[in-house]
Formats: sequence, C-alpha cells, structure tokens
Amino acid sequence: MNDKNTDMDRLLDDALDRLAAAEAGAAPVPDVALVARVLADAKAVTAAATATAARAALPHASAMRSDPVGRGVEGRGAGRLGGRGGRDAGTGRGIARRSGPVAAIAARWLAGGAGAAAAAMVAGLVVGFLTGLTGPEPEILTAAMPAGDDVIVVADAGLALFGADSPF
Amino acid sequence: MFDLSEANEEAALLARFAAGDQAAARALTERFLPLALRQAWRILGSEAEAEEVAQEAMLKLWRQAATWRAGEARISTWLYRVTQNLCIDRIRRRRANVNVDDVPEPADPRPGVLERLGESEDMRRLARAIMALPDRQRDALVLRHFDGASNPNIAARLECSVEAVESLLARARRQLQKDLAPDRHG
Repeated sequence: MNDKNTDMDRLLDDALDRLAAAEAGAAPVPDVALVARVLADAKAVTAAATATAARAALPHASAMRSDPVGRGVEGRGAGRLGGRGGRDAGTGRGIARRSGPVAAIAARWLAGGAGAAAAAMVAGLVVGFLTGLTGPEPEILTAAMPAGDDVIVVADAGLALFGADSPF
Repeated sequence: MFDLSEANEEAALLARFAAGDQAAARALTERFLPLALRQAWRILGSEAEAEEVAQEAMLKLWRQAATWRAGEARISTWLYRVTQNLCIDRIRRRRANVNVDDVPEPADPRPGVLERLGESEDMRRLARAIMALPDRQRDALVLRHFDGASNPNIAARLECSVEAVESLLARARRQLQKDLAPDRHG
C-alpha cells in the first residue's frame, strides 16, 4: 500500500513538474511598454503625493480647497485597502475575512467587555454560521485558531455551547 | 518563517519610493510586476487583461506605499491578494456583461490556461483535475508546484496556518490521485 502510494506520489509530482514547466514557458513576461506604464503610474502617484504635502503646508484656508487629483488618489486607495486596517484590528485574520459583519459583531462584544457567555454565544453563532451556511473546509477553522488569542477562546467556547467535540 | 532580510529590503524599497525615489519604483517593478502578471494571466487566461490587472495592482502598491506598515505583511503576499481580487472583479464583470442567451454552451465550463498547455491527454486531464479542485486546495497546490512557494509563504498568502496549508496540499494531492487513477479513465 505504501509502495503504491509512493509510486502514485512520484507520478503525480512528475506530472505536476511537467505541467509547471509548460506553464512557465508559456507565461507572459512584462514587456517594455507595460513596464513604462507602471513606472509612469509610479511617477504620477509621487507627483500627487508631493502636491498633497505642499497643500498641507499651506495656511489653513488654502489647504481647505479641494483638489480633484488628491481626492481621487485617497478615495480610490481607501476602497479595498481600507479593509486591511479593519481586519488587522479585528479578532483574527481568517475569521474576520470570511465571516465579515458577524465576526465584527463578535469582536465588538469582546472588545466592549461583554459577558463571557454572551460573547461565547456570538462566537458560537459565527462558527455555526460558517459551518452551516458556507460549509467551509476544515482549514478555515484550524486557520483561525493560531491567529489570535480571542479567537481561540471564543471558538472553543462556541463549540462547547453546541456540545461538539470536534468541528469536523 | 520568512526571509526577514528580503522582507526588510522590500519594505525599505517601498519606503524609498514613498519618499520619491523613482529608482526604487523601478526595482520594485522588476521584482513584483512579473509575479502579478503571471498570476493574473493564470486566472484570466488573457495576456491583455492580465497586463491591465498587473498594472492596476502595481498602481495600488504605489498608492499604498506612504502608509505601508513594514513588518505586517510581505509585499508579495499583499500583491497576491490584490491581484487575486482584481481578477475576481474582472471575472464578475465579464459575467455581468455577457448575455447568456447569446452565447453557446461551452464544451468545458472551466477551460483554463493550464488545460490549454497540456501537450497530451494525460496532461490535459491533470489540468482539468487541478481546475476542479476546491479553490483553496487549488490555490495552495498551484502556489506550491507552479510558483515554488514555501508552505509558510503559502500560509501567508492564503491567510491560514502552515498546518492548514499542509492539510490543503495533502487533500489536493489525494483528490488528484483519485481523479487520475486508471479506473477513472474515460
């Protein structure tokens, strides 16, 4: 059995290597024009940042005037990237990312000093919500456990509430 | 876990760019643009679209430079996620723009770049089996075998533990072996 598995492993590795080599040979590499566009973007962002800094150094009344370029940079950048701060400030990266508002509620309860039982209930709902609705693979839960102390405590408590020995 | 010196060097380059150093922008472009381009091409299957996505991902990096928090994430990890999200946005937009009544049913609903590369039926079967894996298993497997990423690096990109990556890879391999077993031919 072990020999058979080893053979299969070797065959699979070999096939994956060959496919990866084919992919590497076919994958595009950035051409001069693309590199030039990317560097032009970099220059434009630097120029916009310089203009913003200069405006900030002006007296208050002048600084209050809006600048469509500067606002554009901040506005667009704030979209998806803005989420990073929220996630980092939350309970755990994997959980917060996947469960969104529910985990955020749990985090607020915990951060706000809510009672342990109530927090556990919210966390239990998070776990139940995840396993019930999205049917995550086990790694989602295992991934959450080392991510933050709060999550470890809450996930265990949540499972205990449901009387489960194991999430799997 | 990570190569800290490399991570520090990358962060230093980004800090230099944030301070206005365009040579740092060039160094970062040389290092990261190929990664973003290849990742986008792999997902989208179109070189032109992949170029647009890679450029957009790099633009987000330039905009992020001033507020980059060194030590929190590696640039490659961050860029991987940004590129992934941009590709997903593109795919959603494609679907939204297509009138399904006007398009004939595709022979294979999930044709991928990998499948087109298969020079033999066996390789095409492998490619199809990879594409049919659950998303996270497929991501882990591709990062490991096609990008040569280490398990800690994959863990960072997929936002999970190293143990979870090992589990993902093991399950992906088991599934591939099952799908490619001789009695599944046909």
